[in-house]
Amino acid sequence: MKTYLYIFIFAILASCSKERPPHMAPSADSPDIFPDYTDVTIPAGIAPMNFNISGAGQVYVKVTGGIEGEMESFGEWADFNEKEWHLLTERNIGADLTFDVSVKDKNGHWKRYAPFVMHVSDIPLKDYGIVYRKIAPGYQTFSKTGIYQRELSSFEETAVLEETAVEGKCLNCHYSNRGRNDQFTLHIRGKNGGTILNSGSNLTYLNTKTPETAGNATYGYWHPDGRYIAFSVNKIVQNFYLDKEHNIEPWDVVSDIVVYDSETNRIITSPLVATPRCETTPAFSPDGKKIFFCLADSVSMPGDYRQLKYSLCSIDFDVKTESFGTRIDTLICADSIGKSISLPRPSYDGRFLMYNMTDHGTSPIHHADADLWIMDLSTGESRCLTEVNSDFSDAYHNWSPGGGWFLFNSKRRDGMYGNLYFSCIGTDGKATKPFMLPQRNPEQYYDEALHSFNAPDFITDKINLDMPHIRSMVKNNEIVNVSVKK
Amino acid sequence: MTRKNIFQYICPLLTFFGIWMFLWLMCPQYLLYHEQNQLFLFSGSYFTDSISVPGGMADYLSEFIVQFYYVPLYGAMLTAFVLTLSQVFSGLAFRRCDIAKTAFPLSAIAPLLYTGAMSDENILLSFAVAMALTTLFIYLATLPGNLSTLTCSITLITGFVILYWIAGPIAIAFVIAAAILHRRPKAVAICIPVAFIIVSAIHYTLFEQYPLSRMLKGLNYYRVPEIYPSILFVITGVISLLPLISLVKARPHRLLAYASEATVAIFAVIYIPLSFDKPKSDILAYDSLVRQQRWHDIIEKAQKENPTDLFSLQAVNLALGITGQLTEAMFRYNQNGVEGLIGKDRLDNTTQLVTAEALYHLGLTNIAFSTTFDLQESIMNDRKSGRLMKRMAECMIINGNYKVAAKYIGILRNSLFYAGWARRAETLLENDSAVNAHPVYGQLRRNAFCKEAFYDHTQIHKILAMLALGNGGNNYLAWQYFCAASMLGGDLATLIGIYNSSPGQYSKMPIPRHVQEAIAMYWTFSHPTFEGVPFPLSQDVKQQTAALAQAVMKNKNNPAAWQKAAPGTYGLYFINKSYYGNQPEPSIKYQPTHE
Repeated sequence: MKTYLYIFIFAILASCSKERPPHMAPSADSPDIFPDYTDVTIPAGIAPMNFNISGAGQVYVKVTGGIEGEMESFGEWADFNEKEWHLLTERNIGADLTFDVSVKDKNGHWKRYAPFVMHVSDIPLKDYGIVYRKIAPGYQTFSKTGIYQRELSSFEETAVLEETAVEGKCLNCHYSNRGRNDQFTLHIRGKNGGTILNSGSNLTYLNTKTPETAGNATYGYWHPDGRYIAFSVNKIVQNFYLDKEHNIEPWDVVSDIVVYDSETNRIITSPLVATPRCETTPAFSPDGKKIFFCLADSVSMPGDYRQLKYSLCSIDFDVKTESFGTRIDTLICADSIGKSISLPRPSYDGRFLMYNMTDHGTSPIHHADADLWIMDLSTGESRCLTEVNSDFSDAYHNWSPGGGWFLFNSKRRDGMYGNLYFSCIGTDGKATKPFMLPQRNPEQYYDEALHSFNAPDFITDKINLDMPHIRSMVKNNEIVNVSVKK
Repeated sequence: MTRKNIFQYICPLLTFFGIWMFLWLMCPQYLLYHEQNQLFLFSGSYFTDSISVPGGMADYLSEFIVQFYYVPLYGAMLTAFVLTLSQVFSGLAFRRCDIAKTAFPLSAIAPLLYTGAMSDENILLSFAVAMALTTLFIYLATLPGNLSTLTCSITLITGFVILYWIAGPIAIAFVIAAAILHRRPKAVAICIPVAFIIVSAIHYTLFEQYPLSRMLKGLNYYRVPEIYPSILFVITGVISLLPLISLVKARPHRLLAYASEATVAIFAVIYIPLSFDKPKSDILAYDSLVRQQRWHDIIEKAQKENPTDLFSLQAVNLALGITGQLTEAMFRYNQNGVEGLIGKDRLDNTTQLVTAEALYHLGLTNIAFSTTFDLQESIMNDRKSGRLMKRMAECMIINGNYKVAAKYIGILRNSLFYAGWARRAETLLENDSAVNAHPVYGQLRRNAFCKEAFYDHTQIHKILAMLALGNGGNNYLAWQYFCAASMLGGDLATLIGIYNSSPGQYSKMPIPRHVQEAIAMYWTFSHPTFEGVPFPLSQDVKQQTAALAQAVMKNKNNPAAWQKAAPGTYGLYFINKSYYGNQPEPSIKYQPTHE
């Protein structure tokens, strides 16, 4: 409903403000645009990369394609026509778009800036969109939260499941099988809480806590065959810092790794990954034969929180025998680097493994020093993704099922509110300068937003949930208990 | 002027002034509570967000009015005006019926019921605005004169759809009342099922993220989504069925007029004041006094009536601390453990308010911020709060996190009552020297906790000691709180240990009365007399402690005797606590919360 209202209002505003600047030579100054889209690489067909210029009365932008085509925008900010924009980006794949920006200040004086460019990548991003949780970056309570999906080619955002639908419940992360819209899990916490499992054919509400396991299923990752899901079962607590340099320190009292079999509704465990140590954030390798995860020795918490450092490990998993391997391989030892690793995410083509590194702990979104790192799985060599990292937390990364593109959450704008950024890794293994999720009026949107984008992922198609069914399952506690495979 | 004309003018005026004065003088704390649970913004997105849900226009108008609750005089006046409007429109709607004109005062029943219902601090003004809009629609529906059943039904359904969107499900009252006034009972039978189908269709197509029950009960009549108080059904029923008096075929009678006047008078005089329960009013009153930093008024209020709940106690202790009297006078009030100073986590949007204020004034800025953030997030209808957002911005300014502060300040600039502060605060952004020179923020920045450590409520007295003694030991409030927390928690060893070794510049001050009492109490555990006590204790303290010890020995099960021996002392608190533990907290219905 809001969308229609916005369109109506924008249409009126847009029709009132078309003024071209007089002819003048460009200055040497670069325009101070928000978001910083200068020199970024974008996929063809992405939503218009609208931007604002601080203090501008009127903005005129002429975009010229390196191969062909051009378009203009007039208004209070650079607000491009969606159809024209798509056409222009499609026609200029592999080339640059040059942005010639002129700004009329509040006194009526025009200034033409030095042009800047965006590169249209030849690596396609074919996914329908992205899915994420919007939640205030709070502490112990939350107001309106929900899982939302956003079309990548437009500004359309729709709710997958909002807290209002299952009142009083906290909605947790959504995990899909390679971005599929019909295979995913999402957790609901609170009274009658559980895990919604859409297995492709069925919608089930699961109680993943069993007498034999340490807690509820938390961080999940699907096996490529769509039958198994690796979960960590965590009991998480948080401590709050007194000093201004830090904020929250979440940590696991207990965490183990299990694999859930959606066909038999059983959990597969192994004493190797259910130890007094902390095993967490599992992820299947693209061939499904291995689970990457993070492992830390138990330390006395919360006192020794700075000694809580996770190594990057892997363990085999055999779907035929439904069993874990017999040994844990340590890919990066926390002791050797003096850092802590979290959230391993292999690219679906098996080339890379992206993960987070922080000084200590297991929650990179709460650590300003959290950076994205990447491992070349063919050589085992890792490097810091300096080309995308910032001075603030960069975390919660995920790969596009199509390969190349990835997205992540970054608090680089203010250190507190996490926003979404996209980047792409080319054949040279380098990541492109990340760009912020486009919005129709970015400055207004991001200034007014009091939520973080949490746990984002790509989705190949739009998710449509059977809301009455979900409401009924949650309200009537139609929950299915999970058992442990003996 | 005829009697009926007098009624038509006098009754609304009486309603207006009565409600205005009642709300302003008797319960301004309720108005302030409403105001701090929303943040009306003059922005396009706020407007479109509001009106994009059923009942959204009523929400928008009500939130516009509620922002004036910041000044209770104006807020009460505007609320009285809205409620009076619904009476006027009701009265106008049955103006053509003689008997109804005589019974005009009955049109005040719904507004008066709502005024009484305001004792439930979660009933929102949105419902009152929706009432006024509904009665306006009822009145408008009577303008066309006689309508056939079909025409009447079409009119009512059209009106229902419009009214449902702007005012919410109270629109059903319009259908019933207008059908009664048109004397078309069949129209009710037709329109109610159609209305249900329309609401279901709107729900299915546009609002699947809400349960149908909320679409039928209203998205924002009540702050807590899962609850719908019966009084709102009653008021809807009154608006729907009041026009039935137009069907009475009796001639106007003076007796009936007096009866209707008497009914309304009884309502106003008995029902409304009785609706407001004192403990809740007191809690909200303490909170509003803390918010306005009226520290002496808080102490005065507590002197008149000793607070019994932890929330009020926290307010009194904070007021005592800020006025420098905490360790001199706190045991004159019913102390009840460390939670009477700083509450543990209770994740609702009321009980931590004073704790958040205390944390802020103490200089525990990070924890004040997180507590305030959670308080805002626990507003059950997902609104934001001007009071809390301003405090969050202040914390961020003190911490030097100017970008987050700028975000909050930018939002507050679009409000009415916080915009002035926001403009002034904007000059502090990215300006460390200006913040350092600021009389409040500069001091709190200097008082800030610098060591990397976690907050732990069970160790709050030790945190307070570090806070008081750190940064040159210039945080007397934290020092008082440390002493108080040590005494309330019974950790006298730590208190006396610090007093004995390194009290910093606090050693230059006379030992506060209650600390002397604590030392005296501690000393008597192991010494038969006060000879050799290493602190300068007053003779009065020594005598009172000795008298208390004797009273306890002689009257082991007689707290009244202890009270008589050493009233208002730490010793008395200590003995009571040793024998009986902390006093049970009075049963207070705390707010539900998002957890």
